[in-house]
Amino acid sequence: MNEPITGGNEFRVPEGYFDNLPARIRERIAELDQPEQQIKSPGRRFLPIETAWIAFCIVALVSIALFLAISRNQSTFSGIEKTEIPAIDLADYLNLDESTVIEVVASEVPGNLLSFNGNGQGMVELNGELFTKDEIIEYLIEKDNPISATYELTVSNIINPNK
Amino acid sequence: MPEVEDRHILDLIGQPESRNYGFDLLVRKYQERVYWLVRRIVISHEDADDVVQNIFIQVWEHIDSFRGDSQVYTWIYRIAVNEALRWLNKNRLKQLVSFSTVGRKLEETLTADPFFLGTELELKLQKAMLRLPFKQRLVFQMKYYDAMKYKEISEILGTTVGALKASYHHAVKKIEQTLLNY
Repeated sequence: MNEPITGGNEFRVPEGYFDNLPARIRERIAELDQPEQQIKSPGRRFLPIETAWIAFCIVALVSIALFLAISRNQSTFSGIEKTEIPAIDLADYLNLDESTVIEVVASEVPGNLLSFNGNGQGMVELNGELFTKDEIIEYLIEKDNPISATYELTVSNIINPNK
Repeated sequence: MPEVEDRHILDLIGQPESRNYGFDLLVRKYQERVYWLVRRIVISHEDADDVVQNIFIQVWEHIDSFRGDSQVYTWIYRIAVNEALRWLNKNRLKQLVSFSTVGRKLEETLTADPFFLGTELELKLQKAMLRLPFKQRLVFQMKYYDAMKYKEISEILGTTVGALKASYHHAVKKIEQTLLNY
């Protein structure tokens, strides 16, 4: 499969599409650059300052409570239960295929730190410790870009997630 | 229209009086490549049109932060990939479905697309591509259709060359298998 089957022309575009596209993009940019029109009632603030402060305090309190709850539940990466992490689940989350995940993780981590079951399920064993699926996925969820997340799945990043 | 050098375009964009003109040149230079990359991901022309516009708006908003540590096209391509993924994610979350279901829905879109003029074999190839995981489909597209070097793809996707080669190899195998099973 070295040469494309088609010259890439199996899809069609409306006539003149590319001629008009730059102008349409310029129009959208111009719209975005317009200052927002705010309709204000005379003699009234758009949002009373007191209400804004109360809302801010509520949000801050809820955020602090959530942060404390999450911190208490956060498990360390030592002394965890031995659990299998099916590589296919990881791959499904990342929308990558299992074999690619295995290849990439294997290329990043020294061979003696990885072991995979012969039945096709993946088990990530790093420095003699096993990581649960939830921990791996939680780590990956924290990443902004799932595309790059897999390729940071190295030993040091798992053991020191705050690095 | 003869191709304008990126350096010249960036110089034009860097000056207030020629910024719009320079940006226009940039769009004209890369719009087709970006469009076809996106079109093969989202399939429908209307969706591709939306995504492409969003891409170039992002380019406009962030062009001043382009440091020149990569090719302009690599930088634009990276934005394009992220926008396309954002579109796929948005679709998936809107319908509360998995990526594979989004792929199946795109297959239906492809079958019904009046702007698809390919042969039966080309339709099968496109459908086979839609069954690949997103990243793998991207790698396949960039190698097969855009004939990009692994090093260029590596800069765009932030993936090692070795992993890309493995990914492309697996993509080809899967597509071959899918086509054989049709």
